[in-house]
Amino acid sequence: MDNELSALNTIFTEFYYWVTVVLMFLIHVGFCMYEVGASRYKNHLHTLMKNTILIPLVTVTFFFFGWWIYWAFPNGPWIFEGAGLILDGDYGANTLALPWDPIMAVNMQDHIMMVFWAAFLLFSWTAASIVSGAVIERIRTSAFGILAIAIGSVFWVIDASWGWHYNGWMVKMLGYHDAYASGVIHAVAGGFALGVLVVLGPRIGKFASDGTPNNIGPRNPWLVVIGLFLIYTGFWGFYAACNVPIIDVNGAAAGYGLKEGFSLYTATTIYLTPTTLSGITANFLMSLAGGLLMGYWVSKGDPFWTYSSGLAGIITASAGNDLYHPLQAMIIGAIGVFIMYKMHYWVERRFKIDDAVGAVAVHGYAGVVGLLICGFMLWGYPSSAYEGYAAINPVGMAIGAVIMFGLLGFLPGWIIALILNSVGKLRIPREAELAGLDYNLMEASKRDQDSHAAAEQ
Amino acid sequence: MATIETWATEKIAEYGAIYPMVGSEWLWLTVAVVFWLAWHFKTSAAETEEQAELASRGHNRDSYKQNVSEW
Repeated sequence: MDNELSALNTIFTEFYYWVTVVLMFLIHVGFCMYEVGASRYKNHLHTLMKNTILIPLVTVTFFFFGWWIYWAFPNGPWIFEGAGLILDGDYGANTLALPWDPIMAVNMQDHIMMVFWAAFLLFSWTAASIVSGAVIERIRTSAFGILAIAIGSVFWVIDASWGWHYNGWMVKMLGYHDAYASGVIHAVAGGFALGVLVVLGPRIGKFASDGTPNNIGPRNPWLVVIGLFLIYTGFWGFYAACNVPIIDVNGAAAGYGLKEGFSLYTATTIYLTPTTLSGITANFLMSLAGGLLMGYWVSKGDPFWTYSSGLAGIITASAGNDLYHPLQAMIIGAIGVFIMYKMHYWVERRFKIDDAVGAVAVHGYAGVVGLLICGFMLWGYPSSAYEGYAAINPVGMAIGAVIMFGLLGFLPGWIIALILNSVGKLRIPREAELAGLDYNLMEASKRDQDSHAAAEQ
Repeated sequence: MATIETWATEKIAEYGAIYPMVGSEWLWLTVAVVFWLAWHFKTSAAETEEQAELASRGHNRDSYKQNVSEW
């Protein structure tokens, strides 16, 4: 950075991602409030700690190996260019994305690496937090910690490497397009949560003896409301973080077949395809609106589902929100909410799945629907700024949805949960669940209060 | 100890990593990984013990209500 213009560009980009990280922090504040609000009084503190502890666990493991995975696997396992493990080359490629590399720190030769790492890390927290809500009130915190690392620092990162990387094999071969992560965050985390829930089982009392589901909570609707509003707020940062704020599209694609002799400085998606922050802002709001309207309608004004539906509306439209018209984003958001709401209750009744906060529906089903719709809506669009990549198409997006929700979501969640369950480390004892996970803390607090009152006499 | 001994030099543009003890990253990484793994084992064992004790006390679904404090 030996001149003001290049310094301005670099430090603008650095600051841009830094702001997205701060905004995305609010997603986690929101998830904590939301989960505590949805849990019962005797489980509040345990629920809070379970979600909180994923922050350090995913952070350190994403530093240890998560970031390396993202840069190592764009070619997929024996799918594209042989074994596919990338061991060097390119900015950020995994000779650099190693926890002992001097560039993974304060380094005067680089202003982007760690703030970009941090933006991805906040996505990782979100993926793990989505799972956290579904399993409240009966999972062991230690088991959840392992599951959080698995989804937050391994499986979502693999899917990002495959389908959310400018060089990912799914983008090249399938025409996979997922600009704001309908699949790579939401479908995969929803699928993972479902896999865990199948093994974990429902909370005691969730289903009557004849199999009829009972509604549990939310205990504190105000915490749920504020939590979801904070998640909406943080989602702005999530959207911004999915963009490259300013780049010469042609320069970035040099050597990949783009025509020489022109420059286009613009914001782009992660695939380096052009978009505008202005346009995606409208799409974010319109898909939120479509989701809220449909959620209110289909749930008959239920506040819990109406707020969740706003989120599901955004999630459904996210795959193509870099290109949709705002009215398209609105309608797509509404369609996704209708389907995910119906799916939630059908799966609950049919398979006796206790998804305490509707996370599988809001993130998983809505994410899958968003990918499928995107395949039709953006059929024929280039999936990348580079020449020679497959165009976006319905089949490629459908395969992508199966990979996200099923292969990298449900399957690992189910297998890891089975292993934990087989050694008795997945679920808390029945008696402890009945007593409440906060029983000992509450008892100690009551004892303190009684001692304090006695001392005051 | 100090990686940088002066900022007042034209060589500042050539500076790379500026954290202390450059070259000792493997040592720090080893300590961090050991701490991380130890955390899992220790907290998991503590959780097992706490919940086994709680389960043995035979509380019912409403027992917690006697422990609701006023503060």
